[in-house]
Amino acid sequence: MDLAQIREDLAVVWQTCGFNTFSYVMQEPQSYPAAFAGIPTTVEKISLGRWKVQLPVTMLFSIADPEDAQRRLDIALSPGADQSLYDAIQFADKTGLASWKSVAWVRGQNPREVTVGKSMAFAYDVVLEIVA
Amino acid sequence: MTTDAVAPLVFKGVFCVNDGGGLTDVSNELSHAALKFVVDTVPVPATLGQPKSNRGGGVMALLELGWLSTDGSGGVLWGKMQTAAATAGKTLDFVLKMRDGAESPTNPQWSGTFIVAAGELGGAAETLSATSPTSYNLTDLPTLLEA
Repeated sequence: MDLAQIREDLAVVWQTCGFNTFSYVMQEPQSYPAAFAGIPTTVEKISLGRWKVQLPVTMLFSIADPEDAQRRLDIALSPGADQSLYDAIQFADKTGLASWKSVAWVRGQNPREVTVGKSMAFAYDVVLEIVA
Repeated sequence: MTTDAVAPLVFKGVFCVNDGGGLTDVSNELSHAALKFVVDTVPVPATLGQPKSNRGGGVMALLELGWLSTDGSGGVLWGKMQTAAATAGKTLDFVLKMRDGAESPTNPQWSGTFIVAAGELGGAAETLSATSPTSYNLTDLPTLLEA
């Protein structure tokens, strides 16, 4: 299991949905919406050769335009919507990538305001369960 | 009396099956593997001169397996078991080693043949497909190889 590569592959999934992506930590984004994979909440060995990782991915939206932030979040969380993040995750699970065997959507959670660099942003987490 | 130093053992070895086409390592899928044996107890009736007693009878070996049920097209345990279940003998050869590394006197391996009496694929929606450990009868006691 290569967590760094999992982050890279997740970044690609988020980019296909119109998100800018960070590596590891939040930096001043060039533009919203943006996303980054957080710290794994659990890392379990589930067979002689496979691991299961629960990984929260944080999405960030501009707080300057709350209506647009809500609209973009709705799209990300809606199956069937153009640039649906849920659909992108399902597609990534179906096609498979080198760094994981399966990825499942566990839940979306924790809407909040966060500080990014010198500005504020609206944040929302999506928890993924990855078997690698 | 002699004593032997025993190190705590964590199962992290290798499990392979052979459906006639050579050994296939299915360790990645395997979440549980245990070899067991059960000896029948034969009661000896009491007589005027002897009280009731027991003797050991026949022995039967078991292989207990749990695995992540993946539906890959080849080289996966489910597929091997389903193929074996369609044969006349309904058996599958296996090799089990409790630790990584080459087989040796300190890292022995067991081989045998189990009867594919049941299989399972899938599970609850949106969760990892994993089977609960299931017992399979072996055709004979497993063979220990520690050369």
